[in-house]
Amino acid sequence: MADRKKRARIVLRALFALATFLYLWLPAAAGAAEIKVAAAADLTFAFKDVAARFQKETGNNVKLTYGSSGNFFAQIQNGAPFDLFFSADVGYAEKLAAAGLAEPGSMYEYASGKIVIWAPTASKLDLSRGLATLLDPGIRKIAIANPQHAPYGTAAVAAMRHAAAYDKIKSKLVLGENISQTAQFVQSGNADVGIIALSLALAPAMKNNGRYVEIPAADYPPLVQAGVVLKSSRNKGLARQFLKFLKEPGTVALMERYGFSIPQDAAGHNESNVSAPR
Amino acid sequence: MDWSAIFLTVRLALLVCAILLVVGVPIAWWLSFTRWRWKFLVESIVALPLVLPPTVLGFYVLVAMGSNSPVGRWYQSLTGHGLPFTFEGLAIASVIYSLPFAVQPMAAGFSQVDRDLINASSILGASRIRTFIRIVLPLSIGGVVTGLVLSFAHTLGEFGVVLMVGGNIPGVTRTVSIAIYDQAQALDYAGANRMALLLMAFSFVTLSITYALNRRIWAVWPMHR
Amino acid sequence: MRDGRLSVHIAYRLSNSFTLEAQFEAPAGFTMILGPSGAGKTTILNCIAGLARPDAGRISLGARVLFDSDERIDMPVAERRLGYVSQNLALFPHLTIAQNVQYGIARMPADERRARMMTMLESFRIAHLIARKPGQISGGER
Repeated sequence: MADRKKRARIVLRALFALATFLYLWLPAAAGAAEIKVAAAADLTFAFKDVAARFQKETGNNVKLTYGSSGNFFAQIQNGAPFDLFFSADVGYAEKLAAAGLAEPGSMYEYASGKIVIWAPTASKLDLSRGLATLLDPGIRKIAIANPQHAPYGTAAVAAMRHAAAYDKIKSKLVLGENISQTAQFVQSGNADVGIIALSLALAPAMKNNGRYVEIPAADYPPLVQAGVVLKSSRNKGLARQFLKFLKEPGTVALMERYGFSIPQDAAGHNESNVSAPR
Repeated sequence: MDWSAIFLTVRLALLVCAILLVVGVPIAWWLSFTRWRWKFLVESIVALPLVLPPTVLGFYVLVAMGSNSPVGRWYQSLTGHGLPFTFEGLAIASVIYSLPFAVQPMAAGFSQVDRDLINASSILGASRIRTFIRIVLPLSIGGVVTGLVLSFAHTLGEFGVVLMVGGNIPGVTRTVSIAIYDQAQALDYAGANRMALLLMAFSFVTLSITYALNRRIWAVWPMHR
Repeated sequence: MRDGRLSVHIAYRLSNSFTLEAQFEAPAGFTMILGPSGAGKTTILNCIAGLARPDAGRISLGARVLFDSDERIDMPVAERRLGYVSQNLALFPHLTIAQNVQYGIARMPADERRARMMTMLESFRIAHLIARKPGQISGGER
């Protein structure tokens, strides 16, 4: 009788001890020699490679978070603890600089992005007709990134308007939270066709599952992608080191393999002085 | 398999449980014993997280603890950084959205205790607190345990609020549910599947243990007469 | 019993059609209240114990005023120092007989408490049951 109560009490104490032990022992937030990078979603595959090479060469950790540039912009304004921000649109980076949240002199236009029309292998669409393909009545859903905060979505809408197709197909649009989710919508077959980033179309997971055609650059405003070191960063040295690493020929070649056009003067002529906001 | 996300999520759930034990029991006690005619208002507030879309909840929590709010500013002056995008901020948000999962079973348990026993305890001279600790609590421990286990399981799986308030910072606020979402977006379906299965199995085991234990408090050992 | 007379004068509106009014004085010793079902006998007891609060009136036990609506006196249940046996016995099912009996005198020093308890149990010849729980003894023993 008292035996059972004693056993019950022992179990309770053991559970409590286990819980406390787990809580204290499980690794807490990671250590100091690393940088937290907020990267636009079109960099999903490219930056995984870049970060891996950086880690191998310098031994320092890079923690990547992908999302839409607009989302990151809002979060950073609210104090999100990132060290670097790679936007898919230079506008967000400039706005951060104007708000005094970017490290002066750190802005770097690291790449120029392109959009493509992508359809799964099984699709019967003839993509060679370019944006006119989207007018095909057999299409039920077209995936693009949300133009409200994803630069690739804004570019997609611009291209569709340029082809006078936007109003006709706007009811079929499915909006991805960021360009990566957009790619996932089409790749999974939930959307019949989509406008995604070239860098994602070239990634192995997409390349083998579908085909794409580039949208002429003249059809949409250029996707100038820029990155900055954030003023609130606690690892500015390491952050700058990463930026420098991006400019190295090896890294530039890697980015180009992912479909990015890297501005020619990778040797440093791209650092614009941020003191005068545009 | 993102182990840092798993450990982070377990730590978060344990912390939230501990806080809800301290915060939830008094609220549940008050709800089950008060005869205030406006009690239904408090019940509704407690139950709100159950019906609100996570984005609404996340939005308001973010506003309430952001750098422009009194809470946010106080925290900033105390620690030098804000509350959103931190583990602590996430814990606070989690306590809010898991509150009904803790309070409702506890209040239900307390209410089921035979009123005559409570009256007898008072007549014999016990203060309200003593009556609660010696009579009500032992007789309704099942409700308390259920409340804790449900909030633990619910915290493990929350997504919307975590994303809005946490910001998906690896090792700090990237919980298992967010990690799964990330992997699916990066088209790593195999990885997402592994973690999702793990989460599901863990939740199922947790719930099964709770329901089994609630038949008789210590069903692991047979009751001797 | 040392307290003296119990004096009760209360009015309690229990429903739209029934207002309980009771007035009586009870000397020390046994007093029985008889009446048909629903007349309000238990309600009167509950008012005396403090478990229910009448709308108006006065209840006093000897020199102690337990309730007085004019003077706004309503002594909390735990302070009234009464004994009450409810219809369904209200034994604490999770405590042993010993703990049940000692519940009301918990603030006494331990040995005095135990002595009082043993005296009480022996006088009812159930001292051998002290380690059992209410679920494990017979109805009569309860």
